[in-house]
Amino acid sequence: MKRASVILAIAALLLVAPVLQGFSQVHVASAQDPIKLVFWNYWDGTNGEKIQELVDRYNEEHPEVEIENVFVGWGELLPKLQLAVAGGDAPDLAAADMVWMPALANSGALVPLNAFIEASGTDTSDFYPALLSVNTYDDQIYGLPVSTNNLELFINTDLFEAAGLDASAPPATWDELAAAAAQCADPDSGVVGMELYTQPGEGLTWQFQVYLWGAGGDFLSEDLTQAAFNSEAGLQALNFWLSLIDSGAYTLSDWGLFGQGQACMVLDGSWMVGGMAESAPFNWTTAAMPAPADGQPATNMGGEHAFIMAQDEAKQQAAWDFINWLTSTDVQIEWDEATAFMPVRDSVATNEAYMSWINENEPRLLPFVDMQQYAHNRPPVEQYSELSDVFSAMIERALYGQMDPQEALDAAEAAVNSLLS
Amino acid sequence: MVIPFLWMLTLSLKPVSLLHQAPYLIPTSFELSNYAEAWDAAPFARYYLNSAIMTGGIVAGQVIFSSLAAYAFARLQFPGKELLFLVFLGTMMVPFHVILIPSYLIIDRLGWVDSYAALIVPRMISAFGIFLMRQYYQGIPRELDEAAMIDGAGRLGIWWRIIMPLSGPGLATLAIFAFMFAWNDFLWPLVVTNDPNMRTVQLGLAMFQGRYGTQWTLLMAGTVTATLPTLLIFLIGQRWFIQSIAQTGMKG
Amino acid sequence: MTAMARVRAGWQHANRRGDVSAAAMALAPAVILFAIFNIYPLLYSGYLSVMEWDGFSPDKSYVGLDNYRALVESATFRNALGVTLQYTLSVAVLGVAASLVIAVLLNSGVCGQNIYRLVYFLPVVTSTVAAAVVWRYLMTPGTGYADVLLRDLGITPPNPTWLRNPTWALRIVMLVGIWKRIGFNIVIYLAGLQNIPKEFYEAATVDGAGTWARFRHITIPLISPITLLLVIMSIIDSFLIFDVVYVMTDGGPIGTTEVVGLLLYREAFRYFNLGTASAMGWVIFAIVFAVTMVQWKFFGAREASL
Repeated sequence: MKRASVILAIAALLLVAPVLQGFSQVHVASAQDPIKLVFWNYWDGTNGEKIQELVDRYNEEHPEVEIENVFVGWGELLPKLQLAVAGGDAPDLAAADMVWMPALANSGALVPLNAFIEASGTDTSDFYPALLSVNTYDDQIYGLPVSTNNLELFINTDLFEAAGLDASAPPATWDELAAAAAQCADPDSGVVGMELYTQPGEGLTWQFQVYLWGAGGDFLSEDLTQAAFNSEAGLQALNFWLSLIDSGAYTLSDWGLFGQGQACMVLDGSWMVGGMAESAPFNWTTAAMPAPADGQPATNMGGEHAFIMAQDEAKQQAAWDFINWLTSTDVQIEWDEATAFMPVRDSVATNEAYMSWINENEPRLLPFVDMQQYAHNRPPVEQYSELSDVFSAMIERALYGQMDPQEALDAAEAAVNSLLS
Repeated sequence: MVIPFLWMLTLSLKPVSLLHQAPYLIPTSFELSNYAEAWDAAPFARYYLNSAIMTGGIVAGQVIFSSLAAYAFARLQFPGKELLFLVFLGTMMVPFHVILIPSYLIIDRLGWVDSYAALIVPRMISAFGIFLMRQYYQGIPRELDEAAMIDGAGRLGIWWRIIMPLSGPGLATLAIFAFMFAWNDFLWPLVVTNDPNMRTVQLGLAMFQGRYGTQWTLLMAGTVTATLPTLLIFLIGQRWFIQSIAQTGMKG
Repeated sequence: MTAMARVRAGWQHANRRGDVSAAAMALAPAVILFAIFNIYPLLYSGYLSVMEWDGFSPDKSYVGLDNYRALVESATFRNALGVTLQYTLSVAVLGVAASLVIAVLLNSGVCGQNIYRLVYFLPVVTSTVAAAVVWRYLMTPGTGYADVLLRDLGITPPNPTWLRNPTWALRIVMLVGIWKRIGFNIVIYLAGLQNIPKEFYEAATVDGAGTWARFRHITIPLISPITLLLVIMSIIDSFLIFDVVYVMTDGGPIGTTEVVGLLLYREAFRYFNLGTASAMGWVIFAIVFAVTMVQWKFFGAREASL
């Protein structure tokens, strides 16, 4: 009968569901099996190839563990970690953006590393303290820095020459920067003198902080309980950005002009060096980011930190052994040479072989290595992402002339303080 | 309408060194190696297989279940009909990000993480599909099923033998949209799969947009390739539209 | 007849025709799947909306209606609602109207209609994220093709900054929204248009009705169930818009493209305020549901009985 066959077909389809489930691999662990660890990170391209190579080598040298290196996209890693923790299937270890560390450490999902560090006698004082501080909560260390980078000045040598400027004598102060930018800008062809990141969000905030610190200011108070950017230094930094816009040295635009040969200068990250060397259709060089004449050299750092989420003690130990290996000086030198990340440890930055490798292979990385010592970190507070968004929203208003600079800083201060209270 | 596609195609055929050169809409270089490189950047063969299984399951489920449910709403009298329809319709209005975590927890509880079941079963039915087919059925004259009923056909028999054969264009539309939705879906496969072997094509494409920059040429090559299956389905489905029109035309 | 008696009579009548048992079978798969994967998660998010939870830690704390109160007081949320409403109205009205005209033209046998259908359908089949990425690239001053084209045609002043311009950003996002959606509408309209018996038009032509009169008095009324579907679908999808804005502007400049979907995503996955995000989700749900109900009643009256 037709009707019966229809119903049967539906029933069959519903039955398919559990069968489909059988497609996924089921594996029963036995005692002889190596300890399996799942390692999530978002390194792609050259970085991704290198981490895979390191993991493969580690697995070969350590038959008792088997680490599975899993790529998860940068934009997706945080939501996925959150879901995995909620569902109880978090990876055993992961490496993630340093700016997420305070929130992650605070969530209770990470394993404190102090006991492991002590047991294996790792000298944490070799890591740059600013890097380590984002992982430290109530004297517990929740992660170790694996890679870092910072922001310095990129200069389009061709545009500089066309404007009668000399890229081998880069601007050393804000005034020189502003003068060079104004001279180099060419509004008719859409060329800006100095590109600024003016889209709302962390991109704006983390660039602005370089100017703020350069002028001698700070983002939050030392005890991290309130905003500190509403200061003379904050005003000086904001006014400097506005003066670049007013003088025609910069026009509010979508980020990315420098890479397209449409900007004479930009403050950008060391990670751009490799890609630009490959694809930029113009000549370019790098220099240390200038500060005001009475200011101090400063830059902002980024990068990834590795941490453990495994519940099982044997897995925690195995994960720690891997992290300890990955962050050791020798492996770090190899990693930095392959990826052009900046050193996370003093012993790498002062390593002669590493420095001569840079000199020979990509001297344009030198300003970044030199300036790493002046790199600040973004304040390690749990609410940082939200602080950064509300801060950038107010700065953006000032840039569009909706608020005057002081008004914008006042508003940002009030918003940030209310989030911190 | 097509400029973005020509542009995508042009970018996918450019060598990286010419990426930022003055814009041309028509390809001036033909760097087919981008396609090979994009294909090799990840196990895309496996991803395509996963996407195909997932999409096939979802399309089959939607065509059967949505039209079945739509038939009940369009033709049958039962208490609570309007309320139930609004509840179904309401499921479309929930921002997906809000139910993401609870939905994931259910999949987790069922032990379905990293399985085809997780990719397929929750989406074998859609309010859109029910709505679409219900609106479509309203255009089919009722006299036809009443005649069949006089001949002693059961209600579900009418659906199967009278309504379904007349629903060619509607079902083709539903199938195309189910296919497209499933094939292009990003967030749900991302959430319910951890195992790299269970990834779909769209998840693979996300690899080209990294923390430290986008590999434009590869992203475009991968996107062009990933768009082809849906385009093919559309072309096939379209032929089916026209065929079914021709058929009804002959009968009428 | 009392209400109870009426209900009972309705039952009996329906049962007599075997409708209820048939409906139960026809609807069982849908009801089961929706209950597990839609209704339960929605109710669970309702529970989360009165809690404070970061999505990670095992503890959640009850905060009553605080999350909702904070939303009502938030200027950012109000701005986002306004932006979302503008976006939704443009996409729903312009997108549906334009697609009806195009679908009718295509259906009336404009030569090479297969090619046109394909052209309009292309944007629909591309993944939203990829489409938004390409559009963003196209609008880039200096190297984006659309920008250069508009400039060469003298339509725009030198150095416009499309997506960074408070006047233009939302318009461009709307344009992309319509561009992405129009093919979807057209295909559904076409399926519906083919349902209209040719005899209706022939009879009308014999009676001397012109093209416009036939469109006005035959096409529009007969296609109205599809129009209702498309308007409701457009409103729902547009109100929940996220990807396009996330990729193209991330809400800027100065909040002019900040839609509620974006705020919700940030609260849930960037700020770890699952409670606030869930409350926001429920507010959005309530608004869309209310708007749809109004649509339903307004259009539904003209429709054949349910």
